[in-house]
Amino acid sequence: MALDLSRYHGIEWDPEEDLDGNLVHCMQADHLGPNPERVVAEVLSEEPVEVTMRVQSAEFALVGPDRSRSVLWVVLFSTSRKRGDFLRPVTGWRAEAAERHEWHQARRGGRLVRVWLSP
Amino acid sequence: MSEEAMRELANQHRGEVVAGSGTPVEGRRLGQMVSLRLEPDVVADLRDIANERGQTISDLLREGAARVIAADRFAATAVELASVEVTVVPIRAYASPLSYQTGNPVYESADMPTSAATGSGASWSRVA
Repeated sequence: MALDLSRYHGIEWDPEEDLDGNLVHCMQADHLGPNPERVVAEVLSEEPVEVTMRVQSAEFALVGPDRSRSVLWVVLFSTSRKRGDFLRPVTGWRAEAAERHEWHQARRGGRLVRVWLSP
Repeated sequence: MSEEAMRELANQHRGEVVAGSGTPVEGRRLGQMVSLRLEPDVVADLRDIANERGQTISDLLREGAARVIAADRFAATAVELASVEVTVVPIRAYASPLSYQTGNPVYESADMPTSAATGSGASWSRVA
């Protein structure tokens, strides 16, 4: 069953002063860059695709574009321990070839289309 | 597994996705909880204001954030306007409505006159 984002109501970031926190980690250039909050928000709201990583680490892995649609990102999430309805970004990076391929395959290069069939 | 261990493991295996596992997910806009440290007297003052207004400290900080963003955008617009070059070109007036209204003669000149009456320093010819 696909990840249901309607179960979640927020994203949890650690303080910027916490050098071991998820925000400082994700801000690194080889992760989500100087504005990880924007990247995560846009990946979640645009056209995310859940993928299974060969080696399981975090709870969920999403691949998706940012709003500019010029970059595909991978973001790994876990459920917050403080609030079960919040997601914690664990890590992320610019999508590699195999991850980009999975996104394109899942999205068929376009938006998700729901088809309702009458019984 | 600690989060640090999760990060390390995940990054060691970047790109190793199970083929065919991609499943589209309905996108969703989620608010972001940001943690910050404030001086105790700042918190206390904010609490007093929040109580007076019947709001929360979070409400006040969101209001403050909106003001910072608005001020930043205003400043950016002001800088853009300041960088615009404006060139003033004297107008040559023929039978200007002004001459009918004021009864004063209207002169044409490529130069702005230093004297309104005689236009000394420039050559003027009366046109109306």
